Amino acid sequence: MALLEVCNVYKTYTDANRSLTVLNDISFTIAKGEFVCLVGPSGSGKSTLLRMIVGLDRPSRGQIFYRGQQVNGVMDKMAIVFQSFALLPWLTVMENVSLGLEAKNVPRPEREKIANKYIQKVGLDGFEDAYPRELSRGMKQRVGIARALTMEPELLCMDEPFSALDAFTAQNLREELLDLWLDITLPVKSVLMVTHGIEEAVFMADRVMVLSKRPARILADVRIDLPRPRNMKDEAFARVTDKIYSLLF
Amino acid sequence: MDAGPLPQVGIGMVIGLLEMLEDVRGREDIFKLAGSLSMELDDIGPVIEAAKMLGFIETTNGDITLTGLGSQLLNASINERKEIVAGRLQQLPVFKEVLELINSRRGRQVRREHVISRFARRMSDEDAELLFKTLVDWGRYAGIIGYDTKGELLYLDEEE
Repeated sequence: MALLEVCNVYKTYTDANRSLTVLNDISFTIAKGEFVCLVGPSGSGKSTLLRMIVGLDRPSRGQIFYRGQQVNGVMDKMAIVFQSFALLPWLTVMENVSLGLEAKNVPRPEREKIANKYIQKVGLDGFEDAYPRELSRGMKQRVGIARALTMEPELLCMDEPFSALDAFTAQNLREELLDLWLDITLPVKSVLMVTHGIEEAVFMADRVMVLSKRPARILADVRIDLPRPRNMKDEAFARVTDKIYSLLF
Repeated sequence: MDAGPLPQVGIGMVIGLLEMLEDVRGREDIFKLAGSLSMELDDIGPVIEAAKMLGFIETTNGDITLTGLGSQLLNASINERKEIVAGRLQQLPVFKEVLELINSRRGRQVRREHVISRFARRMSDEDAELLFKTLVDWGRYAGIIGYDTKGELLYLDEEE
């Protein structure tokens, strides 16, 4: 069974006398173990789609299933990482990372144990007592990733997680995220990442789904067979990237 | 002691630079690298300076080359990287100075204000604040220095 199934999903916003369709009949599945990227122009509804998948928003029509169960709200086995980090400035790194566990009423000693495990995994140890204002953007996003991992998700959803970072930090975090995905001691099986960077998608993903301009439909679902670790400077890499650009323009 | 300032960049940026160098077989022209990233030399400069200071790259005639230690860092796990960085930081004059200062104190901790005023003897107040910030950031990353933000106290991070 697919881990995730998106079936004929539409999203339309309406007010008294207008309606705007952003997603137009979207269907796809994600299997266990896959790293999938969703690319498309800004305003194509990529983030809306991701929010619907994790249960933060609802489709106007169509259905989304996680392991065969319809998504009607936030689900246990999925977690999301946001572009803007979404950290609470008055809480320390440890407190921000444990936030989701606190909401689930996990007792404090266990909360800290789980949080510590993921703080280590993302390389944040040493920063446990730091406040967000003391952190670089890269470190802030590590907090966002650690917080999502404490939910022990099978499907990790990421909404442009590297686009608020400088080029160097972004490259560092991309490689570390791939290491986390390949780490068999972690519960994360699959990743669904929204990005507007085609190179980034080709660097990371097993499959790249290309969305059209609004109202978005799926233009192509491209399998990326390049061996890992990938090199953005390779000719083969450039060929795949070119192919995806040509689908969009 | 005249320990100078540190470039205002995170260690993650340094590692990102090394990863990009690895993709071009460990050597790149700085001008070309800046161009391909659409970055100004003012933005890329401090990252190069930090990587050089830590011994991960060398620069000659406008080219950057990955060093053996730089390759070793890239092949290391996330936690081994911290150890390599810790080893390098302990060689830097400013870290030596601050670690000595902490060690000389009862309770092995020192107030932020004290460290900053010491730095300010040889640089502007603003630069002293920035140096303190980078020192805490790098020290925390490497797990050698801890900082209690509320109490404004710097201490040795001796946790295993």
